[in-house]
Amino acid sequence: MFTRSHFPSLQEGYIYLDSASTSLTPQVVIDAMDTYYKDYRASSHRAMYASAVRATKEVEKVRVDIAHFIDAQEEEVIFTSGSTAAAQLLVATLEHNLKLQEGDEIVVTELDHHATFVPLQMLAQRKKMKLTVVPADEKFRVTEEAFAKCITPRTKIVSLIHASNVTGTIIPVERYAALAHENGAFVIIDAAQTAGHITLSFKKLGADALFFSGHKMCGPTGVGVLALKQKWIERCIPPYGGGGTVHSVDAEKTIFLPHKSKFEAGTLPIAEIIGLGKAVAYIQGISPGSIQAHSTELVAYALSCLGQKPWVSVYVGEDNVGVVSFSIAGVHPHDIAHIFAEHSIAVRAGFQCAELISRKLSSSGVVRISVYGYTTKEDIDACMRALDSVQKTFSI
Amino acid sequence: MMESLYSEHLLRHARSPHNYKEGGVSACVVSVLNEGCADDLTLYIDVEHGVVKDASFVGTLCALSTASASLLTDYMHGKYIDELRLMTPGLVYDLLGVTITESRTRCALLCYQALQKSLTTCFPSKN
Repeated sequence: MFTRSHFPSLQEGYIYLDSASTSLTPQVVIDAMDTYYKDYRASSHRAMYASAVRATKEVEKVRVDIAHFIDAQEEEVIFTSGSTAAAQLLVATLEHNLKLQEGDEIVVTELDHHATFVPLQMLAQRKKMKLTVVPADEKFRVTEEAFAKCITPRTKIVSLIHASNVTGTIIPVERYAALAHENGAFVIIDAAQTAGHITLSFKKLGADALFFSGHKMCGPTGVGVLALKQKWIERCIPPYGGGGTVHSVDAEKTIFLPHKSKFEAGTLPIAEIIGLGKAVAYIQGISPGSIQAHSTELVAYALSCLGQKPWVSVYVGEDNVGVVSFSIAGVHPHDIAHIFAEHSIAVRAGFQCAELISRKLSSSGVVRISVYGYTTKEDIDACMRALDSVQKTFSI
Repeated sequence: MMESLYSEHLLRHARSPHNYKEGGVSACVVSVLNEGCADDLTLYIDVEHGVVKDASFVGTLCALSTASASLLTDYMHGKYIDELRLMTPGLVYDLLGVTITESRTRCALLCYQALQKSLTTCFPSKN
């Protein structure tokens, strides 16, 4: 698995179990960005001097690497500043380009993250569309039966989270994407929790669009990817204009570029893209398949430990990306997380930016443990000791 | 391991908070939300001749917010409203008697925030 010494944040005694929020960054990623700032700091895609040419080459190399990483075409890869920005860009693009009518429908799932749920809810309100939420079942799954019930001939947009950031459940999105397409809907996949954690194939998943952030997969903050099918890139006018998007501009009109650059307005996050490229290389050096196996083993271990504590209510999907959430009756999740922090253990508490499912599980939200390639069983053991401390403090 | 926030004093007030009840019909009622976690607190203050006759609270709260509200409503009883205007967050921290880290100031000061709101909405200063 990952070599822990590659991650400078992993100081002695610090236990990091919040990778679903943001992962730690290996030194090679930091070095790659540092090199850009020191050796060839320049804007990409703009100028002819040597450092600018190098910056452009590096950015475009990352685009190719990302395309391989998610099994997409290079021309389908659009850089953004993160998942939420990708979702906003996508929703605005759909609003400008799909002929959305009052009474048309948007389908989201109860597991969806606010990054997609909120902009789609806002779109539904603006266009007087119906927003349908597919409920999760008692095992925190979105079943095919429940999903199929929500799809109608008026469904225009479907949002599917590839894996829940609350219960870790991996959703078989490819089956649902096919079903949505039979009804002519545009399919969005939020892969923020799965990119760099399991093997991804944009082609096989069958969605029209997929997005993820760099910072949840060993990369830096401030960079993400929106993969958009070529036919949509060709067909859609961009919702935001600016430098880098245009073929020509005169006083009357702007003609946009015919390719993905029309969605990349302004200066790109160059250093972050270069860092993301290095993160992809780092993960490919291990293989996402083995990262998933490691996470599965740790989730199973955490569940066996939590099974010894009947006062803890656990919420975890069976097919899991590496996330375990829990609550304790009568103890607020922030008090639990505070005691964990007193033990130098980083966990997340509350609604996890997915309030629908979190509030359903527990009224004040949950505490979440999330693992990655640098997490060990000893980290889980420390977590259990912190839980014992919670039990003692609150006389459970 | 760092010093624990959860002292016996704090836990006593969290487990059995004082003044945890809705106020009477004549009470000033204000509600506030903890933006960090969506907890909510409603504060009731009943004032007669400029003096707090009763102060109480209800809400969905963590242990720290509960203890803080318990201690603060105790403190408010019998105080002149004009005295409460002079209160600072430091007094709340003193009542709690533990170090409050930056990540928990919203929890510690939720009831104080409700008090500030009530002072401007129900008991505006005449000066």
